[in-house]
Amino acid sequence: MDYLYDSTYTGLMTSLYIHYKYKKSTGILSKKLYQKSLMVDYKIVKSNVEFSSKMENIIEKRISKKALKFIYYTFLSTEPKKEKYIIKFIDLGFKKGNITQLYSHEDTFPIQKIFDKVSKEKHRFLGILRFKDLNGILFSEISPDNDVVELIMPHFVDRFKSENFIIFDDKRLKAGIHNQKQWYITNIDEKLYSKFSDVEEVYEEMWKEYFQAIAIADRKNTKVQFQFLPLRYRKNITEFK
Amino acid sequence: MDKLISKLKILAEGAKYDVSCSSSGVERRNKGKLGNSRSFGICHTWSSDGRCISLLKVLMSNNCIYDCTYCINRVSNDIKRTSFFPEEIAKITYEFYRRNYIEGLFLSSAVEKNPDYTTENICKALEILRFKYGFSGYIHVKGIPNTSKDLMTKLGFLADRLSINIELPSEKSLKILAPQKNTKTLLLPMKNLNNQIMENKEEKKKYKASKNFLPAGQTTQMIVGASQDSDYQLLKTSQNLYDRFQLKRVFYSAYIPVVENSLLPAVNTKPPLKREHRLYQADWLLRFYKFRADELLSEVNRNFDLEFDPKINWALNNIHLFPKEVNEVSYDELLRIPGIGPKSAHRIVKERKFFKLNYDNLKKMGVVLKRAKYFLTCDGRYHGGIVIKPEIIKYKLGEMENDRQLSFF
Repeated sequence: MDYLYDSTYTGLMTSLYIHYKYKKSTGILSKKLYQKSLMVDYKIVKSNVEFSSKMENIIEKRISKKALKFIYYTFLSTEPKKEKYIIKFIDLGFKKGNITQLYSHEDTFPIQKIFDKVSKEKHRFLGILRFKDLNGILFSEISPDNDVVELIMPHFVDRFKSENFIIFDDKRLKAGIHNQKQWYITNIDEKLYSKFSDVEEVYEEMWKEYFQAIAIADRKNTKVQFQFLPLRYRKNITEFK
Repeated sequence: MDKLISKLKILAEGAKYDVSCSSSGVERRNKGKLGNSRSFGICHTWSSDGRCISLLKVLMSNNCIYDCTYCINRVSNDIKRTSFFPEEIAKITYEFYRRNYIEGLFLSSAVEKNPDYTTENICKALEILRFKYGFSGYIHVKGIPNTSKDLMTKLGFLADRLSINIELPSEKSLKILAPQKNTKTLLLPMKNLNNQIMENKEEKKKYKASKNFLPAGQTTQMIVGASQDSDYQLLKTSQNLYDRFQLKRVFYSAYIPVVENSLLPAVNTKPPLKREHRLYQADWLLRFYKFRADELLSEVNRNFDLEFDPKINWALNNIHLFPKEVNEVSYDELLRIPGIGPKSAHRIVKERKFFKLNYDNLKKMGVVLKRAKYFLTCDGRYHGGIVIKPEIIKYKLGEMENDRQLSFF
């Protein structure tokens, strides 16, 4: 029987708990993306905070804290078979213990790769995210491949601790919001449009001029530039607009 | 504002030949109002020359009293001259940083009036940034040779990293191309700063609250191809700087002819980018692979082969040490195999504890097998052909290199 969860992390953990504690599933899948088949029966799993935190504890104790982090990053990825990889990873972990040391083993390799990919994108957005000053509130719009908003928030919360800011993911319509005291993630139903202050244009202009001036013409190499900064990331970057 | 923009353009133009833009080396939470620093460094964008932009790299002034032949800011060059007021540079940094354009500031300057006057101005800008704006982000500052020791100390408490550029690795070249500089005025402040950094580290152990002195250390830069100096000389100099002054990085900058002068390469000469690349590779070998300069070059063999990278060259010259068995040799020995870097060596050491590695494992771990296969065995098997012979390997690698270059251009 396939277990279908509500696309949340709690839902995934709940399903895993039921899978390991009660009855093995034939697969754990997101309800949203599930395609029904005549051959396999399915069951909708209701998210349960208690089961979820129990599952987290089990993974931490029997495998490691790092393994749990790997699983979380994998959950945030767009990889279609991620739940399958996670189950294989946990299966092996329950047998061998601290398996994050293993890189090329067939049951850890997919998770290692996805972890690298998500980490890389997280790191990338620490740099390429741009804020605009919206009369005192800093506003940013991003479209990451993976769901990295939560991962990058702590960095910006510390860096801009005296600022109010919003990081809006326009693919998933969710936002990280910081109001100087605390931060949280919330869903936003429609795209945000807003007017920016006049001074905003001045600094954008200044930055663009700087960006042009700093390049050395004799060393022109746009191929390398594309390698580091693929086209899909450029639409939200001030100096490429 | 237009005036400020044109100032920024001129002073960015003047700073762009300084290649350093790294923001790594310090992990610091936000202690002020704005900004923190991450040990891994963060690139914010890439310019059309493919170089990463991390810091706002700019001059305080390009109004120079010196006349170093290779430099675009030299007094005898006919260019627009301007200077920032300290408040201006602090404000721009603050506004850029808030928008996450940059990771911090890299402030350099031409020598305006005299070294102390110049450094005082730099200090003023940094003080405004640190104290008025509460900036806790990364600052890299240029040390001006012949600045008084007290001022340098003051600077060291304001900045994360300081660099004094050597530019030329020998007294002889300095005499010809930068007559107002000499090795002593360049190396002495580096030595003093290094002592202060060490003292500060000791003090930090005793009193946690004491202020940081250049927590990200010192770096320097050398120009490649402006003088007659060999790669051996450049690399030896780097090694000495790493050994003696604990420098964090030495940067190499392929000389781009900016002036017609009989002492320098002609203006239409292409910058020696390949040579610069080889020097960076060799520099990596010194810092992360535990190589010594004398293993890579010598008095006889003074320059790097442009066809093969320094590590392959070393391996081919020492073929009697290969092949190495990846399931057995130490971490340090793994690092000596071409195609294996610190990351894959690390993975190998960790994973082989669990089971014997095969060829496919290595591939997954990111080992560059098209190079590595000639120099290793995997569970006893050699995948590099029938015999291990430098000429054959060279021929095969050369073919590969040709294919790669074709796709490059």
